[in-house]
Amino acid sequence: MVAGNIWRSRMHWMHTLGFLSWLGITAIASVLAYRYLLKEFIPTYEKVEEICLFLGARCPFKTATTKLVARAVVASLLLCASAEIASLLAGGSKSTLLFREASLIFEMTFIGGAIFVVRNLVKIVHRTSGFLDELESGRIPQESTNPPRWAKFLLLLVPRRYREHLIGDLEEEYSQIVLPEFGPRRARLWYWWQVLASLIPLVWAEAKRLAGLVVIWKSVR
Amino acid sequence: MFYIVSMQSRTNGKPEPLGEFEALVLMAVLRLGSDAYGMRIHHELETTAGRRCSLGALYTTLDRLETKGYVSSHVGEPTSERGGRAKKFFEIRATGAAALKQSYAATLRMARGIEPLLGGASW
Repeated sequence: MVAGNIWRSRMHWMHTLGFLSWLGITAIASVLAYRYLLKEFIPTYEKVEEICLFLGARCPFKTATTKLVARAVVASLLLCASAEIASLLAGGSKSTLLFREASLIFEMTFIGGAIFVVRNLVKIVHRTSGFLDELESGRIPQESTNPPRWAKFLLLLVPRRYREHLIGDLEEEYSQIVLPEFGPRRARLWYWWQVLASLIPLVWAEAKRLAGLVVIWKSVR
Repeated sequence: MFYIVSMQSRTNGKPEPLGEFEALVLMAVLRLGSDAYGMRIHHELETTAGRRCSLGALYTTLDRLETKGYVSSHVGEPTSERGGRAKKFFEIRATGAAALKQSYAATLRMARGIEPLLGGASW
C-alpha cells in the first residue's frame, strides 16, 4: 500500500518533470518559430496600421499600452500553445489548466477582434457606399486608371524582401505598358492576375526558405 | 549537416545545371545588359521568348539564381513612375555565364541531327 503510494507519487513527479522538460523545449521552439518562421506572416503593427488607413478605420495600436497588451496576448498564446503541445508529448490529457486558459485567451482575442470590426463597421460601410454612389452617378472615379486597391492590399502578403521591387515593377508595367495598350479594364484584370499568380510562388518560396526545406530536399534528392 | 551535403554537391567542379526557365531568365539578363531589372526582364521574356509568367515566379527564379551565385544584384534610385520605389538591377556573373554556356551547348548537342524531325532549322 505504502509502496504503491510512493510509486504513484514518484510517477507523478516524473510525469511533472517530463511535462516541464517538454514545456521548456516547446516554449523555446515556439519562440524560435515565431522569430524566424512566423514573423513574416503575422500582422505587425505597421501592417495593421496600413490596413486601418486603407479602410479608413481607427488603428487599435496607437498607444504604448495597446501595443503592450497585444504583445502580451501573442506571448500568452505562444506559451499556452507550448503548454498544450508539452502536455500532449508528456502523455497528459487535453483538459489541463493551461489548455483551458489558452482557450479563454483565444476567445478573448476573438471577441476583441469582433468588437473592433463592429466599432469600425460604420466607417467601412460609409466608405464603400461612397464609392458605389460615385459609380452610380456615372462619374468616372479617379481610381479607374490606378491599380486596383484591393489587389494592392493583397500585396501586403508578399514577403518583405521582395515587396518593394515587385510592387514597383508591377506599377511601372501597369502604367507604362499594359494600361496604354489594353485600356483600364483589361489592365486592372492583368494587375489582379499578376498579384494572385505572384503570391503563390513568393509565399511558398519564402516558406521553403525559412523552413530550410530547399537544403533538405537537395540533400535527399 | 544538410548544408554540408548540399555544398558538397555544389563543389564538384561543374556548375549546377540550369532549368529551362532559369536559362531563359539568364539570357534575358544578358540581353538587357545594364538595364536588367524585374519589369524589363519580364517584358523581354514575354515579347522575345513568348514566355508568360508572373512577376512573383520571375523574382523567385532570380532569387534562386542569386543564391547559386549566377547573378548579382544592386538596388537603384527610387523613381516617380514606380511610385517612389527603387529598381533592383541584376547582372550575370562569370559562373552564371559558364552555366548558361554549358546548358546551351548541351541543348545544341542534343538537337544536332534531329532538326528535320523538328521541322527544319526555322524553329
